[in-house]
Amino acid sequence: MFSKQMVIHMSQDLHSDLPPSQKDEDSIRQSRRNLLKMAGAGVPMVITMKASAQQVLISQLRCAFVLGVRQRVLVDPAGNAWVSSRNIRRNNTKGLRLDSIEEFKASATFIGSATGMAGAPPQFRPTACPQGGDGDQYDDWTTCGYNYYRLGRNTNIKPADFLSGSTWNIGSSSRGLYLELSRQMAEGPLSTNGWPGISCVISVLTYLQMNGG
Amino acid sequence: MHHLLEGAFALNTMNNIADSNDVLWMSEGDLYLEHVFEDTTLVYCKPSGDTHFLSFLPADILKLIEKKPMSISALHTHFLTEYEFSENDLPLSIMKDAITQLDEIGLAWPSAADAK
Repeated sequence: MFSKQMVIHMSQDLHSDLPPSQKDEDSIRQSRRNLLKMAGAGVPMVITMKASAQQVLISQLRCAFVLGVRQRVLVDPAGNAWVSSRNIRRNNTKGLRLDSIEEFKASATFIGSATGMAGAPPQFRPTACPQGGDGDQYDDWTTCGYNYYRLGRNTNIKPADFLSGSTWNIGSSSRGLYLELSRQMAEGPLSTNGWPGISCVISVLTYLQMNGG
Repeated sequence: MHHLLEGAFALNTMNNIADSNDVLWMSEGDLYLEHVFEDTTLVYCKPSGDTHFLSFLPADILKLIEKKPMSISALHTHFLTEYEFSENDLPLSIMKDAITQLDEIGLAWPSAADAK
């Protein structure tokens, strides 16, 4: 006959004879049985941590775009803006060449009141040429009446950098101007086909609209 | 978004659907990122931005149904064998609960043929 102590001892020996992996498996299986019992008693098998509004905002606004080709923006005193990848001939003393301006305009996308859009914000607009004076005018050249902004190829623009909460704060940089004009293109009547970065801008605008911006 | 819509449909009708053993359930691994801590799996759901803690059963179900759609009864049979559990350890009702909970968070949904 075995004493109670001997039985316990044998049982322990039997258990210790099992390979470690078998012991682990038994332990895991028992732990899982207990978890399933808890599930059967109504304890959820799935617990969710909701994303905070701020986390969603950051992930939704993370898009950026890179200009595949250079972009030039010409702005007049009324805020009319012409955007093209062409260059305008410039001279440090004489300013912009008039016939080159006309060629640029002919090739450009026009954003201004004539197409129902606001155009360039005030901080990007030049002062008008003096009435009747031609002190700033050389033959075929002008140093007044236009601001000319240049964005190089590979310029990286992150719309979120120009947002304060849900308010646009575009500052006075060329990139801010391009973003503002892109925003108007996205919401305006013109075709956005081929406008660099438009899908990123639209996704940001869509998000802001959905969130009351 | 498509899957979330399917999930929303499933949510409205899940009581009926989860009770049916014939409906095939599916998921897509592209929807989420996971990190396994022993018997708990952390799942970040990309469309919702939510993070879920899954017990081992829903986590294992997810891995299976993203490979091929499966019915609850087929899942039940599979896991009885895989876990070496009796029906007492793993009743069919627990499988239904696990699927329902995955459905609620949009990580599992009835296959298109069943959702119509």
